[in-house]
Amino acid sequence: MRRNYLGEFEEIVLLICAQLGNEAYGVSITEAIHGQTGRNVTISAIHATLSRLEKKGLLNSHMGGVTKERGGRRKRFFTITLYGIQILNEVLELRQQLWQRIPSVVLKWKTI
Amino acid sequence: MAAYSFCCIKMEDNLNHKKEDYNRPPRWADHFLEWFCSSELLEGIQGDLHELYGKWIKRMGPVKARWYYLFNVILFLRPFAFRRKKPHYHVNYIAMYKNFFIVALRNMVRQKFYSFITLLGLTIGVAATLFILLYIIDELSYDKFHTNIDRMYRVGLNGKLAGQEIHVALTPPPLAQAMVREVPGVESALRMWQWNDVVIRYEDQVYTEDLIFHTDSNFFDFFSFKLIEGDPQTALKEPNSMVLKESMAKKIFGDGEKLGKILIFSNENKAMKVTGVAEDPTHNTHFDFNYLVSFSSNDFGESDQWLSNTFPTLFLINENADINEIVSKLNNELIPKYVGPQLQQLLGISLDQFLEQDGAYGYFIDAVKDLHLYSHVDFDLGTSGDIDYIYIFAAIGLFILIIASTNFMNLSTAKSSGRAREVGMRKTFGSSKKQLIGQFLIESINYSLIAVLIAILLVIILLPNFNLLSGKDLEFSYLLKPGLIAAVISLMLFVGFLAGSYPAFYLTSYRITEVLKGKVTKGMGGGRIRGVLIVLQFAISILLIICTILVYNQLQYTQNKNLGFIKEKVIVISNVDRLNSNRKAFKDALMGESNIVAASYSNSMIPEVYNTTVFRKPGLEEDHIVGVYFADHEHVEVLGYELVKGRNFSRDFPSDSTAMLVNQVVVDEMGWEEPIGEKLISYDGPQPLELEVVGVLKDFNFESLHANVRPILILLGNFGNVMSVRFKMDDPKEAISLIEGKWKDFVPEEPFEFSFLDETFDEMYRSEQRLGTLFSTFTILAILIACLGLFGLAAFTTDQRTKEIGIRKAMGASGFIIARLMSTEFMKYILIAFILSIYPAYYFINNWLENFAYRIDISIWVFLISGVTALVIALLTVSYHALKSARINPATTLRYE
Repeated sequence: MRRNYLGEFEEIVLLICAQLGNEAYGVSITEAIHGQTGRNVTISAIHATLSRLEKKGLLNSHMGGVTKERGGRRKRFFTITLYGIQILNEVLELRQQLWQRIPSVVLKWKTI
Repeated sequence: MAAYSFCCIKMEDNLNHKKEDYNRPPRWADHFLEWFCSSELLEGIQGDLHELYGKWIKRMGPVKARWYYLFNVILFLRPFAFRRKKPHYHVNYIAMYKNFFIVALRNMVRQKFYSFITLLGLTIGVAATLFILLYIIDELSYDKFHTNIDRMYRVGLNGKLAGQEIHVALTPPPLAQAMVREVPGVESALRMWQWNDVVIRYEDQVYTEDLIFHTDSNFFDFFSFKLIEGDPQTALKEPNSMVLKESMAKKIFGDGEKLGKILIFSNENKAMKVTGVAEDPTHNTHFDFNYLVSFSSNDFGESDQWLSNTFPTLFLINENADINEIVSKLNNELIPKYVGPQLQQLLGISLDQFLEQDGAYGYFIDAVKDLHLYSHVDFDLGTSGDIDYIYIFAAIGLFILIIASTNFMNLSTAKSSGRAREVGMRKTFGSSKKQLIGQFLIESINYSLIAVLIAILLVIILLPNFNLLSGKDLEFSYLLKPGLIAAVISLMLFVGFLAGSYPAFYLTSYRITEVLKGKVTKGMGGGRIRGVLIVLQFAISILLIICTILVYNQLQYTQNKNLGFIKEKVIVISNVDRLNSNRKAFKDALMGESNIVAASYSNSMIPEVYNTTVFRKPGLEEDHIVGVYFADHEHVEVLGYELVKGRNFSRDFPSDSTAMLVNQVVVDEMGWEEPIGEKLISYDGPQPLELEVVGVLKDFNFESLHANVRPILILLGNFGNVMSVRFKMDDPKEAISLIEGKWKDFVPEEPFEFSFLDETFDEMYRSEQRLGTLFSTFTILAILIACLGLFGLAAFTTDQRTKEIGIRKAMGASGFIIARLMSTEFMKYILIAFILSIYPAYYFINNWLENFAYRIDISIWVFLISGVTALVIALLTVSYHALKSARINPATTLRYE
C-alpha cells in the first residue's frame, strides 16, 4: 500500500501545480482549477490543501520576489517534488490498471 | 528576517491605504487575519487574498467585495492556518541565551569603570531601601502577633477640667468589671497598672526594677504572650503572686528553680510568690513588661473610685460587636451612672452642670493595633512611633531607589549607543526585534540581580550598625517572608526592566541599513531623557539637603535654647526616702563639700511635673489649673532658675511656709500688674489654703519644646522624694563617686539611683535626633549615588568628545574654556533641579516644624546654601573629567585614526 492516500481534490491541486510549474501559487491555482474543471473553490480550501500536500512532502514552497499588485507581499510558490511526481504516476498507473480490468461490455453499456 | 521585511512593507501598505480606501480590503478584516494566522503562512495567504480582492472589486463592486473578503478571511479559520505555539523551524535557543549572557559579561568586563559605577550606585540604593523596608516592617509589626489583635481596644479619658484639656490613657479601677458586666459586646477586659522604681529583694540581692504591672488574671488569655512555667489560667489569680519574664528570672535565680520562690517588694514590704515565668516579650509590643503582679495583691483593684483615673483599661470585643455602640454605651450610660454621682460629691455640681460649664468628661478608645503608630496620649505605656515618620522614611526610600535606578538607566542608555552596530549585525543574522529587546533586558536585569545580591550581603553585614543608628533591634530574618522575597525579586526585575527598557526599545528600532552605514552610532541617543533624569535626581538630592539642614537646625535650637534653667552639671537622685532619718544629714554632708554647689529636695523633678491643682484668686469663683511642686530653699540655686521679680524662699522669713514662687505664665494668666504679694487660694487640702507670691521666675521650659510653657508654681517643703545636686567638677564620674560615697556612708545597703538632668532632657528629643541622624545618613547616600551617576556620565561625554576636544585645543582653546564647555550642560540641569526642589522642600519642612511650639524660622539662606552645595558637589564631580580632558595633548587624541 502507499503510505499516503491522495484525496480527489488533493490530486487535482497536485496536478494543477505540476501543470503550472514555477507559477503555481494560491490565486493562479484557484483560477486554473476554475478554468479547467469549472469548480468554484475558495482560496482557503486551496491553501488548506496546499499546506496538507506540503506536509506530506508532495509539494515544496518558497517565497517569491516582492510584488507591486499585492501591496508588496510576496507570493508563496509551490512546486511539485519528485516524490509528488512519483505519487501522481502511481495513482495514474493504478487507475489504468483498474480501468483495464473492467469488462468491455460494461463500458459499452455505460457509454450508450 | 521575515518579520522585519514584512514590517517595512506593511508600512508602505498603510500609506497607500490612506489615499485610496476602497482599493484596499477592509483593514479590520486584515487585522483579524494577522491575529490568528501563523506568521509563516500569513504573507502568502494575505497576498493571495489581496490579489483576489482586486478581481472581486471589478466583478462585484467594492461594497460586496469587502464583505466577500471578510467571508474568505473567516473561511481561513481552520487549524492549518492557526498560529502555533512553537514555530516549525528549530532554533537553538539555548545557544542564543548563552550568547546573551556571554555578551553581557563581556560588556561588563570590557567597561569596568561604568560597570563598577552602575553596580555601586545600584547596590547602595538597594541596600538603603532594604534597610528602610526593614525599619518600616518592624514599625508596622507592633502587637500584630496577638491572636485577637483585631478585636482589642484600649480605653482612655478625654476631658476638660477648668479650662485645661486632658487626653490620657488612664481609667479608673472599676471600669473594667463594669464594662464586662454591663456593656454588651465586651468579651473581657484587662487592667495594666504600671509601677516603676520598685525595689525588689531576693535573699541578699537588691534590684530597682521598672515595667512592673499589676494586672488581671486573664492576662495570658487576653494577650498572646507565652508562659514558659506555671499555669496561664491561675498564675495571676491569687493575691501576692507574680510572674517574671524569662531574662529577669535568670538574672535573679540563675538556672535554679523559679516557681514558688519569694521576692520582697520593699516599697510596700510585701512578699510575692513566683507563680510563673513568661517568655520575654518581643521588642515590637506596646506592652513590654518585666514583672506581672496579680491585681488582687492591691486593694486598689477593688476600689469603686470612678474618678481615680490611674491606668489604662483594655478590652476585647465579640466577633460581631459594633465598637461604636460600645463607645456610646460607655459615654451615655456608664458615665452618668457611675461618674456622675461621684463628680457631684467632689465638685458639688451635677454632671450636666459640669458639662454646661465648659467641662468635658468622656472615654475614648483606640484599637490596640494602632497604639504604636497612631496614638498620642499622655501617660502612655511604652514608647510609641509615629506614622508620619513611616511616611517620611518610605518617601526617602523611594527617592533613593529612584535616584539609583535613574543612574542605572542613564549609564546604560549612554553606554548602549556604542552598541548600535552590534544590534545591526544581530538583525542581519536574523534576530527578531523581540529577541533583541530580550537581550538588552536580560543584560540590565543581570546588573540588578548582582546589585540585589551584594545589597543583601551588605544589609546582613551592616545590620548591627543600622540598629545602633535607628535604636531598633532588627533582624535580617524579617526579610525572609515570602511576600517580601517576592517584593524584592519584583523590585529587582522592575528596576532592571526600567533601566534596560530604553536601550532595548530604542536601539532595536533602528533600521539595519542606517545602523550599519554608521549613521546612528555617533549620536548619543536619549540626551534629552538623560537631562530630565539628572534634573530629577538632583531635585530630590537638593530637597533632601534642605530638609536635613533644617531638621538639624531645629534640633540644635531645641537643645541649645535657653530653657530658663541650667540643665548641665545636675545630678538627680531618685527615691531619697531610702535615707529615712538621714535626709538632713545627707544633704548637709553634700553641702559641706567644696565641689558641690548646692543640693535640694523636691517632690517632683522637671521635666516631669505631673501634679496639677485647682487655684482660685481670693473672692473669685474662677478655677485655674496650675502645675505645682514642693521644693526647699536651695532649689532655685541648684536648677539655676532666674528670678525676675521678688525673692527666693528664705529662712529669714518664717512665714514662707505659705509662700510660693510662680512663673511668668501664672502672672499673665492671673492678670497681675504687680505680682509680689498677690494671693492665690489652693483647694487641694481639707481646707482652702491662702498662698502668697514672693518671687516670679522667668519662664522655664520644663517640658518638651513641642509644647508651650504651662503655668507652674513652687511651694516650700523639704519632704520631697527627689534630690537634685549641682556639682562643680568637669568630670561627671567624679561627681557620681563623691555623691554615691556619701550615700553609702549613710545607707550602705540601699541602692543609689541617679540620672543627669541634661541627659533626661536630651532624651526627650531622642526620636527627633534619631530622625535627624537617619535623615542625614540617607541624604548623604542619595547624594553619593547621584554623584556617582553624574561622574559616570561626565566620563562618558568626555570620552565621546575626545576628538572634538583635541581639535578645539589644536585650534587654540585654553584648558579653562574646555573645562567650562564640558561642565556647562550639567550645571544647567542642576540649576533647574534647584528651582524645582524649593517648593516641595519648603512644604515638607514647614509641616514638620508645625509639631514644635518653639521652632526656627525657615531662612532663605538654607535654600541657597543647599543649592550651592549641590552645585559645588556636582561641579567637582564633573570637573575631574573636564580637567582631565582639557589637559590631554591634542596630538594623542587626534592621532588614533
